[in-house]
This record gives sequence, C-alpha cells and structure tokens, in this order.
Amino acid sequence: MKKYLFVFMAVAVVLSSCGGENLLPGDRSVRQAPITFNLTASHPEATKAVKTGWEAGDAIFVFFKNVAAPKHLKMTFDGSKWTNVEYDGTTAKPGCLGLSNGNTGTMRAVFLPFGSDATLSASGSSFVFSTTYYAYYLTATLDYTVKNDSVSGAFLMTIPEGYVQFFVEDASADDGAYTLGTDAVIPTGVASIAADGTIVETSDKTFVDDMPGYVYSKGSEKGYLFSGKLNDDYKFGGHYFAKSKADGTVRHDYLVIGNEITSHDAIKLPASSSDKWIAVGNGKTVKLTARTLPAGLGTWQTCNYGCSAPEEVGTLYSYEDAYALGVPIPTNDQFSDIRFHAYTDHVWLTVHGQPGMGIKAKTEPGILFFPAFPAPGLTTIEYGGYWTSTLSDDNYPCCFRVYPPPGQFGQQLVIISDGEFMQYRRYAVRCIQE
Amino acid sequence: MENIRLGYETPRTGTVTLRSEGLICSSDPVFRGFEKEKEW
Repeated sequence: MKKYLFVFMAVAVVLSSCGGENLLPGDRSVRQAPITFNLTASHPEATKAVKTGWEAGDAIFVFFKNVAAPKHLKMTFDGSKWTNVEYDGTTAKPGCLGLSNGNTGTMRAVFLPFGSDATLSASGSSFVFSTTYYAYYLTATLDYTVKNDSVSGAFLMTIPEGYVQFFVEDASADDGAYTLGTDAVIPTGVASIAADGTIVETSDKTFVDDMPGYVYSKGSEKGYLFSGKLNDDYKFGGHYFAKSKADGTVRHDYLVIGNEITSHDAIKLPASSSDKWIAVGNGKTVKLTARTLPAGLGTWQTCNYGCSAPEEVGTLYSYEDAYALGVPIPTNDQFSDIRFHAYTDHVWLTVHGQPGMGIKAKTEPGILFFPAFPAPGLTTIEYGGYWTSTLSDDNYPCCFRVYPPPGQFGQQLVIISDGEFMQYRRYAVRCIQE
Repeated sequence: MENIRLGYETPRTGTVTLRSEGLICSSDPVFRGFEKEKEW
C-alpha cells in the first residue's frame, strides 16, 4: 500500500507540474496511453512566394507552455517526413512531456536553419540553445488539446518581421570562416525561449558588428548565408558590405547604390570569385576610373595612409607634414576623376559606424570609401578633408572634401583652398598608386 | 490526413512520426522562408 501511495503521489506531482487545465488528478489511466503528436507545418496562403524547402536533417524544436524547461519535442525531417522525439534536455526521453488527455495549452515551434543539431538546457525557467546562432529563424505558435491520446495541428512557420538574408556563392565555403558587415543590418538570433513560449532575441550586437557566415550547400550551389535584422535607423541611399575572413587577414568590400533592403528580403550578392568584391587593406589598391588617363592615374589606395580598413581615418596632417611623408598624394585632376558624376556614383553612408562618402565607378567594379571626421578639437563631423598635391592659382594648398547631405552649397564632393587658412588645416591622406 | 503512429509496441513512448504537409515547395532552398528574392 505504501508503495502504491508513493507511485500515486509521484504521478500527481508530474501531472501538476505540467499544469494542464483539464487534468484528472489521480486518474492513472490517462498516463498509460502514449500520446501521438500529429503535427504538420506549413506556410500561409497569403504569401505564396514564401519558400520553405525543408531538407533532410532539418529540425523543429517545440516547446509546450507549462512543460518546464528543458523538456521539449524535437521534430526531425528525413527528406520526406517528420519524426519526433520527446527530450528532457539533451536526453531523448519518450513520454517526458507528461501530457495526457484533456491537457490544453500553447505550443511554440522554432526552426533554426543552422542549428538542427543544437541541444537545449534550462536557464532558470527558460530554454537556451547550446549555441547562439546569429541568424534568422522560423517560428509559429499553436493551441493544442490532448484528445484521444493525440495532439494535432499545423504550424504556420514564418520568419519574424525585420529579418533579411544575404547569400554569397563560394565553392570553398567553410563554417565561420567569413563574416559580413553592413550597417543596415544588426546580427540577431534566438537568445532563449521563455517558459510562456515567448522568444527572447539576442541584443548583444549592434549594426557595427558583422554577421557570421553559415555554410549552405545543396547540389552544385555552395556558399555563405548571412542574416540579421534590419537596422531601422539606417536611412542612407546605398549599402556598403564588408566581407571579412574571421581571423581578420582578408577583407573584400562591395558597394550598392540606390537599392533598398526591406523585411524578408533574400539578397544574392556577387560570388566570392567576382571582381565586384574589392580586396581592401593597407597597401591594397583599386582601379576606379574609366576615363582615358595617363597610365596609373586611376589606381587608388583603398585605405587612408597608414590604415588597414577603408573606414579608418588615420592621422590628420598639416600640409607640410603630409608632403614630408614622401608618398604619392593625388592631384586635383585625379580627385576630379572620382568626383565627376560622369564616371562615378556617390552615396553618403556609414561603414562600421563611420560616416563617409562611398564612390563607385560607373563602368568598372571599383569602389572607394572616404571617411569623414570632425576637425581637430571638434566633435561634430562637418566633412572629411584630404590633401591634394596641386597648389591653387595663388599658390596655396588645396583639399578634397566629402560632405554629408545636403553638402556645401549643394556640393558633396568639392576641391577647394581657403588661401592662407590652409596652414592651420589638418587633413587625412589618401594615396594614389605611383 | 495520414496519421502515422509509432511506438505503441513500447508502453509510454509517446512518440510518433510527424508528416509534412505542403512544405516541399522550394525551387531554391537558399531562400527558404523569405518572401522576396533580389540579386545585387
């Protein structure tokens, strides 16, 4: 009898812990029947363009409101059908959800496109994944009632508002080898799932941070997928992408002008092998102009003097100190080449949080970024100034300036000299290839 | 809708096979879940 009582009490504890509203406490018969989960997942009719394309190995994690962490259901796709297993944390434990006829509640389904092999643990009353994926996810909620020993329903899996994705074809793609940064997107993902099924997203990254690249491979198509959430504060007319090797040794940049990113966009960027990606860094150069010029005139350093990334400003020099560097400083004519709209397009934007002017050749893949900066002693950015090697008609130094909109007298790229005041100016140095 | 039940030979397994319905629809799984495809 004592043994019977013990079993009875244990069952009662399990039943009360899962919190079903219509339990029949003490009715041991409801615990005998295995529960069938007859769940499906689909997408809304209204968005027929949504492509889900489940693949073998994909997994959907299902969380039941009132079933304490880390107990959950894992649905796994084998290429034609889903199977599911109840898990208690990392351990498959059939029946551990403790559901029985009459239980009602809400289910939360989460699909991590790169995290099908993730495991779950409890953090307080929340569920946390073994790895944090800074990537989009698909999710849905569904009310359920355990009836006739089964749970039935169809998840309407969607990507939350604000997520966008970028694909870069790369035959030698390797997980985590590359990152992609664009100030219009904030790396975001699932941080945890609360006991009530609410998804808590990560908030430790900003628009300055890069998205990790996850390998996607199917058939002959292989490359990196980068995803994140739109930065609502990004209002510029162009998008500058920095694709970097995770160890910081290699970086390629790409600039798009005039295109918009909106929620739920999936954007295919040029393949890694494309010459549209410009190798940038200290000593790296790019040919920018299509104009017929003397040899060498159109080849620019991708970074300011002494810098290793295009968005770095570097040291500001007086004209004498810049001249004393002994490096090839562009002439007024050379700056004019990249200034003229006949040869280039221009867009004011930020790169890793640094404001400046993006310049893109009309007929060649070349791009340049000129960071702007406050004048010494000031904190507000009025423009970015760069020394030229050409003297004005009255023999004063000249400078090339990039202005944020609306510019100075309507001009965002100017070559000027303000006479004797130039001796007090401190500007950056961008070299041209000799 | 087919209802596949597994695990009944073992008491209290409570597991089943879930069947997909209307999911295999992608011509290019690269874009799964996303509504708009763009090429820049």
